[in-house]
Amino acid sequence: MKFLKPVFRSLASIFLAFIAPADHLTKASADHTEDPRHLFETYCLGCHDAPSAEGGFDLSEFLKLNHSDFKAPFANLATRIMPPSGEEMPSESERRKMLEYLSGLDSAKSASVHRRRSRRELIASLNDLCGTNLDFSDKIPDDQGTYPYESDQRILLSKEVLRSYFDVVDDVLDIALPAEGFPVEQTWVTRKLRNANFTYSRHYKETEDGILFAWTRANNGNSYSYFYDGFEPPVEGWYDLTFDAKKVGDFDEDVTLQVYTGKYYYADDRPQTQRLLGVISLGNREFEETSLRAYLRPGENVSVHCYSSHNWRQSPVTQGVLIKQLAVRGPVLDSWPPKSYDLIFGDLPVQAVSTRESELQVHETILEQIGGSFSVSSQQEGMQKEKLQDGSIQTFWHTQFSPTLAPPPHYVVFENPNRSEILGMNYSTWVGGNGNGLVKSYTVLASADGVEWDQVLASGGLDVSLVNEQAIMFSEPTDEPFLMFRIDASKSIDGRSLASIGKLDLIIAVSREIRHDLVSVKASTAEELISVVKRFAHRALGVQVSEKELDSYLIPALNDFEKNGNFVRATKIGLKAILCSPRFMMVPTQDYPTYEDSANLLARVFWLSIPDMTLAEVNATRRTRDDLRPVVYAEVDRLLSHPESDRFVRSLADQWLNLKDWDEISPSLKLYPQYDDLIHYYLPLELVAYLGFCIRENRPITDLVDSRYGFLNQRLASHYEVEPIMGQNLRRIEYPSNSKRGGLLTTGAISKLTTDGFQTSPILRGAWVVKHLLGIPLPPPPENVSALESGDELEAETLRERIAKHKESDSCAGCHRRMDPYGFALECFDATGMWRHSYAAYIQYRVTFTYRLDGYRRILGRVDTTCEIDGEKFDDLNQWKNHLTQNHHRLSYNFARQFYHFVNGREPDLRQNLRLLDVIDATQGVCRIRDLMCEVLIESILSDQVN
Amino acid sequence: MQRRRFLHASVLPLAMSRLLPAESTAKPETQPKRILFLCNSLGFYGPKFFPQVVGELETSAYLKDLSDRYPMTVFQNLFHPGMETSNHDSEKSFLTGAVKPESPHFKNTISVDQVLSQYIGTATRYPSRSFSIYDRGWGCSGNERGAAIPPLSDVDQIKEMMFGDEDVKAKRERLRTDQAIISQLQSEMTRDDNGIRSIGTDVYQNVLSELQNQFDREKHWLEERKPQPKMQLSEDSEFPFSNKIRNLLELSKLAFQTDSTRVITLSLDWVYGAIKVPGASGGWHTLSHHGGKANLLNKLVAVELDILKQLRYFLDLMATTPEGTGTLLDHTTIVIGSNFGDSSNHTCNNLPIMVIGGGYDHLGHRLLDQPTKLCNLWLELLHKFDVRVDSFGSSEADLSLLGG
Repeated sequence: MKFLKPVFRSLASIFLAFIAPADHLTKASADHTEDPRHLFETYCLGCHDAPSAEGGFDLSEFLKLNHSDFKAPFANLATRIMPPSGEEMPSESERRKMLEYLSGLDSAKSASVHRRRSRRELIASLNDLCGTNLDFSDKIPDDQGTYPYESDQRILLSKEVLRSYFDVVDDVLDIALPAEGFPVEQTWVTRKLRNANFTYSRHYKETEDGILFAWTRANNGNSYSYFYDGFEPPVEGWYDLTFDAKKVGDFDEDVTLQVYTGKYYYADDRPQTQRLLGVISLGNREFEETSLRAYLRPGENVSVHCYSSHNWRQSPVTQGVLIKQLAVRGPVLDSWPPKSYDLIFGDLPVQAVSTRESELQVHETILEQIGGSFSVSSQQEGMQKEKLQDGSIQTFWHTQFSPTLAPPPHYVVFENPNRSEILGMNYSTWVGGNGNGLVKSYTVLASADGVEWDQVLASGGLDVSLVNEQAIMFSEPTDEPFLMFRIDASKSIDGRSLASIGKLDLIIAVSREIRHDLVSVKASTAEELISVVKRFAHRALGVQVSEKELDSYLIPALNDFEKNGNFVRATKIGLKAILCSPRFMMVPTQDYPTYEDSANLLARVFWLSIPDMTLAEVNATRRTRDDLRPVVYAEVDRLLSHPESDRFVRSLADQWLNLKDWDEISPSLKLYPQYDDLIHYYLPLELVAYLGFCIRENRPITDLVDSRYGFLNQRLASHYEVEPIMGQNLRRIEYPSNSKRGGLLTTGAISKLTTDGFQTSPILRGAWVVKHLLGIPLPPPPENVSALESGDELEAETLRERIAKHKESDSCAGCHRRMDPYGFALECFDATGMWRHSYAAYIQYRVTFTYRLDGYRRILGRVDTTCEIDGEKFDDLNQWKNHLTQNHHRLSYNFARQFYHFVNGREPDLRQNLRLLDVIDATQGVCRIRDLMCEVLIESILSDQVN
Repeated sequence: MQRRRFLHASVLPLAMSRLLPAESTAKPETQPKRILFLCNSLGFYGPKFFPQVVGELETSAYLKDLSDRYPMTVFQNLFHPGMETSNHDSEKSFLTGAVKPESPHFKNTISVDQVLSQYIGTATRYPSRSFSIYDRGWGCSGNERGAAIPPLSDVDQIKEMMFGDEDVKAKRERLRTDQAIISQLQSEMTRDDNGIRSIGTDVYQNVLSELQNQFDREKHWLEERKPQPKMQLSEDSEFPFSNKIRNLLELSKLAFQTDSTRVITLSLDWVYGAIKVPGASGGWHTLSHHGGKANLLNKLVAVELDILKQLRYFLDLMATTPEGTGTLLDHTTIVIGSNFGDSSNHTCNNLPIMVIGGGYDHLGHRLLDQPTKLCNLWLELLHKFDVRVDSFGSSEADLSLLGG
């Protein structure tokens, strides 16, 4: 058999069904009673014959080339793109024969039988093996490149990636079995905020009960966050953050507390973005404690941002979130001794000394912490010296000006009775007034007796505006018992001698000492070491390992044990050898000869991880499709019922639906001022919840396009302008029958993923639908075509006209006829998924950008969602959705192929395609999603056997 | 002695190691020669980049300020064959010349910077470094198997990696263990009677031995303290895009100055979403498809001018850093270009390419009579660095495009 080489003379050719007159082909199908080749002549040659070939496709030229890519013609036939509507159609059995014929010509063989374990799979597996819960994805390079799935077998393991795997394995083992023990859990309670620019501090109010927050955003659009003082994670780890808080306000909706982390900065009006740790929804009008767990690293601080549509930039604040206090506990472990010991050492006795639950004494100020006290030169009633140390910069100490004016010098004296080492002082201006008395210059003096001030520690100037906290560091630390902060010059509106300070405290060296609790393993023999490593190998590799193979993991460990005698340390070396072995790092992409292999595959797909013992221990004999079917269906059911399967749903959404690019597109603040952190947080969760529901509930494939339900919360409901919902927990809701929402395509996540953040483009959206949902083949755009991505000034009418013009051109028509109509119907959604009737363009803004709720936009022409697909005209979204659901066969076929690629790291070959089509065709009515997944898995497991 | 060993340990393409004279890297050099490649993945707008009058660099709107100060050669009419329909994928081939990068079965080849790194990178702590603006996992560098080398994009991480202190003792222990594990795995993988062998794909075995070599190198450098140069990293948060480029260039200069590496590749890659530079903001990619519309074009030009401004800053640094009898710039070849000739159409003809510094007798504007393969220039650069190979990628010959 002569195979043809993939040479495309013209890109247009790959749209065109391959046809070849019978005499040009070989005897590949000689055993068929009826030669299917005549079918291609009947249904294809009419258009694709030289010299009047459609799309400039010259058949005679084509036949001279060796051409082996039958995928495009196969896909065109299978998805019923070809023959085009209006032409003579083959019957179903004829179509089947044509597909069968093409699949018989397919020579594609997958190149490799192993691929590297992907980043996501590595992290999940390590966590499950070692009982940790760590996200090291930022330590491993993303090597997916432009391949659609992380599992793609074409992705080669590189030295850089393997290097990072080695490092991450070390990190996980060090956290699971730390040589120095586990940091002792501590508790911090804080009610104090760190300083903020007045632009922000005017939107919170300190009250007797706590701090009341309104909602504001910074001028670069970031949610401005208020940083809590008094807590900084001493070590990396999980911390429980408990807020004692309530809603204040005369309205029905919940108020929302967004909890962030990031490096504290004194924010001007362009604060840096931070990491959103979680959201707490508050409907309670009495104080209640709510916790969330977050992974924090040293140097990160916790901050809050409170959202409610009722108190935008309110000042003074009367409504919003009132937080009494924040209590932080951590680093937390779920069990003691930690789970890792049980998982790794099994029955070996473990001794764990616990001083856990130690309560940390939290001091309001450093001065209090060192047991010191302070006095001032004078004080004004209502602005007493205590205001210096109350943690607030809205209150302040002021020298006396009434009834009489205190004469200079003005000063503050600190007493340091225990002679602690002082590094400097922390000075803050106060905010919210005229600033009278703010310090312009100072001198810090030290004294042994509080009488003779003979040492100058520091002196200099301070800023009185646009800044609050200013650290004054001494040239050398001091332990003198008396320190004086002397005000040499201050701001005075009327020329009188005054001084005022918002906050003043000392700076001391932070104690870096962290206490640890030790865990030790009672084991001392090489035999015990061998059994631990062996057990781990079984778990990690999912198979029993031969003695010989085990040796290669054991030798470095045994050598180290002999040399150092440290059991845990040697264990870590043995475990590392297993985790860095090709058997663990490389996973098969085909050929699953034993039940254990299939179990490994299923666990990898649904948990991204290793099988649990239940799965691995099931013993089933091999196996026909019918034998395997009930086992696979039951296992998939079981695997999906575990929380680990959330990883799978997220991974599938990230890859198949492109959700991994979520953070890369930020909608323009001018056009979409409503788009905020909260909506950015919930849109992907909505998509994942919807997809997860469709999978777990085995919904019909058409639910991907249309349904009467969705997963919403308060924020999403207001974004979508549907029936209001109270509270931010996502829940399943029913849409009314006339609703525009329902299905993946009406989720804001998809609307946003298919734009560049400025304008929407029907071409991008159409291409997305065609590629991700329908699986209609599209080649890359041809050369010498200026793209139609919209500019900011683009008028709607022009866009349609330009697209229309595009379609007239021969080289463009083929593609655009296929994808554009699918995008036009979605024009009713803006770049953030909000419903719209008109387009908007942003207004030029020439000075430094200032955020405002209304944005900067002007209205352009009306949105037109009419479109024509296969000669059928649609006026709006719902008609269009009907068309897609009626063609559910296409949705099923595409989903099956996408899922196959996801599972196996490669596209199914044409024979497998044909079998997947057969499964779909054999289904009564509409295919169900999880059933399809199971069939794909059976096909994956059996493919070699069948072949 | 040490350097020789590393040279042999590094994995050289067979043909090349034969061509390599044994003394080439052992010979004491007065000043090391270095090279930086920068790929601006969305191109430079041609009418502003190329001189309007042949041979007169001052008639280029983009380059007039640069060419005043720095001798350079600007090439017009270079291209990579096989990029007719490759679109953004052409970025992968910019330094390799591998054809049809858009093909689903595309297999890339080694990039020119990595060939150089195998020859001139063996004497430094890092054989080469790749940086990019975003963490996309790939840039322009690829190893000899054509696998993308993930560039580093986090400025703090790069700084820490190149100049930060490390815990030497623990790292030494760790390296020893890692090497023991690798040796064990390797010896088992070559044994026929072992279960691992079937899994021990060639890929894994090759990568393991590369890693083994890297550990050797790391062990050597572990015993030498990292340099701690003064740096002026910018923390401007208003223009993070500009700031990122500037800082990556600053770090590149420091890496050269401290001889931490001699080969650096910088991908000015893009992602969807808006960027902001003084005078313009927008989706960089969207702007690049300006279609000749003035409002889009003006913004694109502002972005490109901003990139050139950062470049000028870098060249100023290089030219004012003395080294030997000259400056850092005299010993560093700086290659700036793009995989796109016309970004609006995303086509790959007439690529904007320029070479600055390196101590060559630069020729100014070189308008080539006919379209010339970029790999000819890459081959010539290899020769300039005494890498005696006969061809690279699609090259035909060393055409002495750069002159002397």
